[in-house]
Amino acid sequence: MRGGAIPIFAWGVLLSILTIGNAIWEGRWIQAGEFALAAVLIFSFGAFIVGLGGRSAIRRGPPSPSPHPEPLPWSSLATVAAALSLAMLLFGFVFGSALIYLGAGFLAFSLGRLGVELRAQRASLKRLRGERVR
Amino acid sequence: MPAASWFSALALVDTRQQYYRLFDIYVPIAIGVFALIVVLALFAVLRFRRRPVEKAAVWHKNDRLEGAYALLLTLTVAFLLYLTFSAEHQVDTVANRQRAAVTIDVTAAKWEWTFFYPAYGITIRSGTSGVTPFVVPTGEPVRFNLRSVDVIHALWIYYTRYKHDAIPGSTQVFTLAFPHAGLFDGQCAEFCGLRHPDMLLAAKAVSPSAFAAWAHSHTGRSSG
Amino acid sequence: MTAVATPVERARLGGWIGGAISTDHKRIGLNLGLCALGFFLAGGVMALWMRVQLAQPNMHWVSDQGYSELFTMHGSTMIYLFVTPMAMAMAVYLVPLQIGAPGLAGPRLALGGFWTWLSGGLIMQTGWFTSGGAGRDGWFAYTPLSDGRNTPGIGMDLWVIGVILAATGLILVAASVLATIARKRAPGMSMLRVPVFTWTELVSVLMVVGAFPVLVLAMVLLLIDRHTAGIFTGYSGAIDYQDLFWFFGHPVVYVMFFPFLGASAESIATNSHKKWFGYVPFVGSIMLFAALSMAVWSHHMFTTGGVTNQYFAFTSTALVIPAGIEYFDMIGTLIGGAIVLRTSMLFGLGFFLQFLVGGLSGIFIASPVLDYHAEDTYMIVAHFHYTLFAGSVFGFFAGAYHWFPKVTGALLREWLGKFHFVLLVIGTNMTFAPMFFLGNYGMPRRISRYPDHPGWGTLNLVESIGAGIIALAVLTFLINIVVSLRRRELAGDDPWVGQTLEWATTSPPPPQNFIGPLPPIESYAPLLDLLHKEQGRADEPEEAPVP
Repeated sequence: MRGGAIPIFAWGVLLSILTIGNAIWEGRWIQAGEFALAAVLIFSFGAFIVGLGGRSAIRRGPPSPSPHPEPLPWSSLATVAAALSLAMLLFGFVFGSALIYLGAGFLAFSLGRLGVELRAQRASLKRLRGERVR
Repeated sequence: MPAASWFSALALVDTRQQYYRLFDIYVPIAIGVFALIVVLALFAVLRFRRRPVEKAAVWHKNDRLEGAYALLLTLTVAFLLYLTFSAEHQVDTVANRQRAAVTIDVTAAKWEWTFFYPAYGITIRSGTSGVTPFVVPTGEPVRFNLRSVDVIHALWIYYTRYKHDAIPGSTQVFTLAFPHAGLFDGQCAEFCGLRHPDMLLAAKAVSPSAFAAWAHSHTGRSSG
Repeated sequence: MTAVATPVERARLGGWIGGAISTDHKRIGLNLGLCALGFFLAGGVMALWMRVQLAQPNMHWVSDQGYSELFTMHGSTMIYLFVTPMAMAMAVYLVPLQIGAPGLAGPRLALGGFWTWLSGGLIMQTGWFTSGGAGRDGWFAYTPLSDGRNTPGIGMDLWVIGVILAATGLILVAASVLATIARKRAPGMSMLRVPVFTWTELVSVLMVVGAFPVLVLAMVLLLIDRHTAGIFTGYSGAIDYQDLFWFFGHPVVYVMFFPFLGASAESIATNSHKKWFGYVPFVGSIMLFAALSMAVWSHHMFTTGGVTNQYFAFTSTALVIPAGIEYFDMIGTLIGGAIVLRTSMLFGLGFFLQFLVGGLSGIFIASPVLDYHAEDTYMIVAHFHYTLFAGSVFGFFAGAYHWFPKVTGALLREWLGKFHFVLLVIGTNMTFAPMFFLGNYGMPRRISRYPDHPGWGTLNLVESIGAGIIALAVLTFLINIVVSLRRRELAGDDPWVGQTLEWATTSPPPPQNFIGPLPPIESYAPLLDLLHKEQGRADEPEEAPVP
């Protein structure tokens, strides 16, 4: 998608300028550190968008129609299970280690199922594009 | 004592006075801006209500006007910052450079204040056990060394329009002035647990000679 | 737009389970929004409880500890569990529609984020049922008061875990929305043709991605500190905790502001039948506003002596510039319009004018010397309730009345809506305006009771009555929803002469949002452009004539 990463990088630049200002004027490592961390997170997200979409993500102009089909899943039980197992795991820190182990186990299982879901989605897309599916 | 009073009277930093120097400019500007925008919005709503949709204007920008307005805003910010920085310099830096007429070590604890005068060995306690005022001279810089033994508290003497946090592991230094005699209430202004509302204090300001008399008669004593 | 594929051909689960695991952004947005609304009501009950306690001096309706739990959980519920997630819910539902996309990018992130957030919210509330009580060191939990020695007990631990999960969930949702805006815009929709509301959501999710991870870090460290000690020690430890917390704690209030600014802007533009004025300066100013908001956090620490007050006074006061641009644009939108005072428009205007009180008082406390007096008093409580309640919540209602027909297919009753508005204006100002004066007279915040100083009892009583009127206003809103859904007045696709793409589809939209080709996209208000073409006014000048 054209231009999608531009606002992200632009905002990252604004953050960097303010980080430098803070580092000069205030000069405490925790402040400059967390501020720089925020800038790094933003630039990383921008890089991720460029990675997904190619160089067009930093080119100005309106997007053209996407030639490839794009996935639109109906539902994802694995995702919900993963979220709830994470909650169970953290809840276990207060209420007992049984929940921590149970939560970790369910989380691993859910993430595994999520992986299966995503692989199946990718296989479907490849089939639609007429590519060979392993 | 006379030499110190004369010197400090020249440069006496009064936190209440600094507060009102800013307040008396900030608040009228704020009220003016608010009134202007409300009037403009109400005018626009009343003037352009109940018109046919075809009459609604197509135009939707004016970059030059907006640029001029942004410049005006920037100049306003510069003005406010000039006022703010000069007041803050007085209260935070110049005040502590003054030669203090008296120094008080304040210790905050759950849920009581202890005021200790190192020069005279006087201790006064105030808080959940009841309010006992600590005494200060009028018209002279009073230095506070503020500490905490447990959690974060904040010393707030309402009349001075000033407060400062007491954070364990540090000594926070600030200087206040009491231009007039009187009894000035204060209390803890940082949530510190169960009896935070009861952590009360009071400052009693008396003339420098009355203060000297009080200090000598109470030397080494503890109250409150 | 493009063809759509499903990974596996299987029958779609209906009912509760289907709705719970659905990756349709409209379902996720609705779930998130409804849960946030539920937390709003819970947080409101806590506020009413506090206002009963404070209605008169020296009351003992609530114990000292109970009161500290109430103000902690009221603030935490409103911030972590109502306004912020509601901002994200509106993004999840509306952004794909506004940009002409069939769905979110990474919808599983949004779904997982919703469930993580909800688990966190519920876990936080379970603290009420523990013997030691719920979290009770404020929504900010300053150390050392929040450590294991000063506030022991699992209620506080549950609060910390609740915040960790809620914040993590919101980060996941925000990441999905950010990727969606970056990658799923319809053909023709360049970034500078993205609607005003979506731009406000863009800067909000940027702040979530940039700042919320620091909160998760701070809370994890706090949890460890509570059980082992040694992380936030001494003076520097206490200051470091505040630095970490407020690095999140300031941007979050802007996440709680921008989307509701965007909703009010859409409502005002639509109900003026004009495009939002000054779009490009507006976009530039909200980008600057959001970036600056990441640089002001230690203005919450002016009285600690541990930060350079001048840097933060500088960045905080500079906020006047982008804020001023936004108000200029609002006036520019109203002038020359064909204004219809629907309920949504009233709430939108209410947002702008009331938020201004909060904004101006914010510039006041951006000055350290003024803040040394105002900090930790009811002046601060007044300031942030004007921005968050008199501002953002009014903006939320502007959005609710504007988009309810799109989401449900039914119109909300106008007369009930106007009654709701009038009650809320009265109640809001009765509750929060006196707080400026009480703070100025010396009433500190977070106190469970206050002595019988002259005037304090009367002002507090006025505030408590105002809170009751707010409750009646919210009740009116709920009644409006029930009545409007029971005996439906059908809205159709576009009841308002909408300007943006969500009005070019059915109400509610079909699963893939749009059937058939989209209208041509040549600006941030494509439907209004189409209307101007039909009226033969497409070649009128874009620049406002200045007298």
